Amino acid sequence: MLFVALRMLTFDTAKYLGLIFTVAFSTFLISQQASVFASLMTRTTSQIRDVSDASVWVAHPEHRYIDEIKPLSENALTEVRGVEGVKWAVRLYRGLSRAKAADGNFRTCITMGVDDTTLVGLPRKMVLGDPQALRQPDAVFLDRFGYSFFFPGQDFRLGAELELNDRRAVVAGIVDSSAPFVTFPVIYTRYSLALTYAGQERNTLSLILAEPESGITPKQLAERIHARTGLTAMDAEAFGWQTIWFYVRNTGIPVNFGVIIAVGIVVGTVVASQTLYLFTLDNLRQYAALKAIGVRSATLAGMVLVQSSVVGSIGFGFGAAMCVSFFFFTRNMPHLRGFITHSEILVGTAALMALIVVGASLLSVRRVVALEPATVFR
Amino acid sequence: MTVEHAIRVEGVEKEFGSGSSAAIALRGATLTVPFGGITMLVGPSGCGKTTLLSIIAGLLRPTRGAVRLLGRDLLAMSDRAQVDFRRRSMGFIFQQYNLLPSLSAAENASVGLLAAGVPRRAAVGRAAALLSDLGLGQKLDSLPRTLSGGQQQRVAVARALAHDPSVVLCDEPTAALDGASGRAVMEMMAAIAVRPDRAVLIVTHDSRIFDFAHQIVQMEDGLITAVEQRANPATPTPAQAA
Ligand SMILES: Nc1ncnc2c1ncn2[C@@H]1O[C@H](COP(=O)(O)OP(=O)(O)O)[C@@H](O)[C@H]1O
Ligand SMILES: [Mg+2]
Repeated sequence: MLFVALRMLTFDTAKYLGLIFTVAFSTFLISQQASVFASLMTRTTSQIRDVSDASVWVAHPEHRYIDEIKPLSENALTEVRGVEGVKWAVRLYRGLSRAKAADGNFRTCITMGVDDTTLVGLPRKMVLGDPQALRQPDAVFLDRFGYSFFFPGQDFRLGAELELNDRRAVVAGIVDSSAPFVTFPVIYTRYSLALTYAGQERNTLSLILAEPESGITPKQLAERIHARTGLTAMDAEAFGWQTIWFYVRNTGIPVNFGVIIAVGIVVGTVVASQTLYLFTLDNLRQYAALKAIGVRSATLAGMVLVQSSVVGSIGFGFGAAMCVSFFFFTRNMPHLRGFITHSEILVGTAALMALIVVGASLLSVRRVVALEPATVFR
Repeated sequence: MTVEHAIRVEGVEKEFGSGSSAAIALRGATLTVPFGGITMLVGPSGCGKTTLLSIIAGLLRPTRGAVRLLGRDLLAMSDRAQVDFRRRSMGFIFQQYNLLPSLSAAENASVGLLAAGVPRRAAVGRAAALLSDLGLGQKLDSLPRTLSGGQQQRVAVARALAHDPSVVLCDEPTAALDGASGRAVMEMMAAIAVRPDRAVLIVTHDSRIFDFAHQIVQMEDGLITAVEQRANPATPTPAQAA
């Protein structure tokens, strides 16, 4: 009876495509919205994730999250270095500065000052240039989207000049850094140079990056640093979550987005299950005839389930493809940079769609099973 | 054990609903349908013919009474056993044909065989042979919507007969057809469906086809009121059947 089930499903092409479209649309709606949300939230942690050389972050106890930091005293660095189990600890400056190109084009940039000696804190991936070039006088690294902003239409080239808070800066490298939440360009420079760019603030030790000796986990080290120094210390993941939670608690973005996603999930679920359910109801008379002829209820239920599963799989496939393509084609748009389809979300959407398919099938199968076959005589 | 009658219905009563809104459809119907011929159940609209047919088919449970089919107590069977019994031993023809719109004529006629687990090729092949006997050899691949009412009903006849049932039950098989098509369908039935080891029960109020009956059972207001045996029912010549 399998081919009968499939024939029933595909017979009316318009209806069939409509079913698939509905599931695809629901899949796209749910996975795209959820991915945008997840991407937006991970974007708040870009500068944390881009630091791959250190696993522990130390901040002033009164800091709120990475974007709202109270400077540490120079003493703090000495204290942290003194904690047993610290392999090394280095300074990190993080601040905002105004950068201006020769043509007057200006923008606020996130400025990261990395340790002069070790250059710990640089992103791993260079688009152009060598990390060691950051040691040259007035050298800064610019992220590639910042470069495209300040030097629109120009090929990547080293040696271009910018003014950072009215001081000369030479682009000595182009890095591939993750998009920050606010889509500012990101500039990397040496810690000492960052201080001169920053100018006014006296005490400018934003954060300390530390690495545990082998045998100690970042989490253990963070706890130890906190216990010995009273400073806040977290492993990179916890520091990232702290930032995400700050945005969740203090901006309307997550709540509003959450509502939109919830609406998307509800709409997608209702539309998809309704359509699948109604499709079976449309065929109720055919099922009644089959039941009268002697087809077992279990077989009929199987037919309904096969139909829903086919629609569910194909529809999910199209929807997921639409979602992935969306983020693929928008990957180079500065404001949508860093937005990706999270595989967890696709898996979740697949599970939800499977649930919808099975749920709608069960609901409609109840109608098929409870169906009075005598109705075919009416 | 030899089974004397194909169908034996005794004192069957059927009430729909209960209390003051109850509708009594059958008031103690008793009926015997023999093998080897066509029995027609006739009577005015609303007298309970369809209800009785549904009970005989195992599609509806009576309020009271006994039903024996091929010597077996239908009411003692579980729902599941009834379904299996229907699939093996009964064929159905409905007023509204009830073909699956997405299947070709041959595929539609094979549905009973498919349900019984016959592989698709074999099932469609057997159904196609039967359709050719019914004069639809040219229409095997046609969809129901491209067939006339008479042709659709002949597909339904093939579907009802393809698995060689011992009992064939029909509800107003000619009511939706014009006189000529109705007669053509009945001629097919008389030629192909009637066999010594099979009983054909047709519910109808179409007096134009009464002459195909071996036995006419009169029904009125939920009761069997008369049974008439016919000595010489219309038997089609091979030319008529083709
Ligand atoms: N499911 C039902 N619920 C309530 N009343 C019914 C139902 N089916 C049939 N009836 C009633 O039972 C009586 C007999 O109906 P039916 O068997 O269809 O008659 P016929 O086939 O002879 O026209 C009618 O009065 C009809 O209204
Ligand atoms: Mg009727």
